[in-house]
Amino acid sequence: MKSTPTRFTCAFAACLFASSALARPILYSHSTTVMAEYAEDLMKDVQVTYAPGYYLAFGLGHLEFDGSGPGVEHEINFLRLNTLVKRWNFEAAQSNVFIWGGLGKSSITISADALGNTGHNHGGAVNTGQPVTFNETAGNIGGQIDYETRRFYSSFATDSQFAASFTHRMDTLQLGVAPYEHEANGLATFFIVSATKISGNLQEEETQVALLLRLFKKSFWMEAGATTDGKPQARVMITF
Amino acid sequence: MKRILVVSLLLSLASTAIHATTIEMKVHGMVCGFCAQGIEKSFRKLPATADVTVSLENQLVVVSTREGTDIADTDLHKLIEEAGYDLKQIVRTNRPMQEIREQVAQKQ
Repeated sequence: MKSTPTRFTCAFAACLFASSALARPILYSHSTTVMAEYAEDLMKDVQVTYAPGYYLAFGLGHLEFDGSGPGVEHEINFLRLNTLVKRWNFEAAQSNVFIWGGLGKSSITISADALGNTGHNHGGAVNTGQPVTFNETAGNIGGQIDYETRRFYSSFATDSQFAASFTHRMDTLQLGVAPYEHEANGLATFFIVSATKISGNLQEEETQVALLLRLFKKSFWMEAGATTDGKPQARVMITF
Repeated sequence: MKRILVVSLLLSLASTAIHATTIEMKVHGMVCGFCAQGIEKSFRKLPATADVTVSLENQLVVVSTREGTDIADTDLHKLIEEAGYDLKQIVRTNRPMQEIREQVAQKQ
């Protein structure tokens, strides 16, 4: 039986890594990408990656979690590596296979009040009147296959989190359409439907559906929308 | 007579190549602004590059070179492939970049 802090930490680590998977994990050679992400009741996240080639990107990031209740603070600092395994270039389309992996150190701090309020001992921690911090190293591995044109976007991604005490997996299917075909310097607009199946031993298996509006132009990319139960999501990315 | 025609044709082609200021490339795989941006940035790093434009609609990358300079086909292939795309065709012309931009804009 896992302790509650460990469950919190691992669950949020899983959400971090999975939700940080961009529409395309690597953009172009010699580019630096800064990304910020917000998901209500879940997390805030900032990360920076550098791509030395079109087939490789590595980076680091920091996030803070919001959804774990009063008196509980979560942070993860992580390193990540994305690789493009295969690309097919068609006349007006592109298809890719990516794989990625990462390592993160998660920390969860629970205030004395929160410890007292839960009625649990949080994995054996005794409420001494002082905040308690738990640390754990989490690994991540995943992959994505996609196909896109200027009118249509599709991808399937699988992302697994693991540590000594847990496994967590998210499988995401995204389908998108554009109302028009954008040009190189023009604004691109896509309407995206995203369905994610969450499984593993951290929580009950469930499937979430989100509706998202994706916009990008030149070096700016953003995606915003909400899950079908009304929780907003937003991601912003700048590349230079 | 036939020999003269062949020589004339070769001289004509050579002349076009020497004075070419515009390289038009058909490139496969470009589907978004980020694709275009990556390719543009690669070409702008070259000293010979005067200007670059990309058309996703026409799968076209156009580079104008500085006077008296050119970019070898092998370098063009290398740049496009290192950016992650497939270079299918190279055509050298004397068309001004502005004319190409206007033509591309009309097609949109």
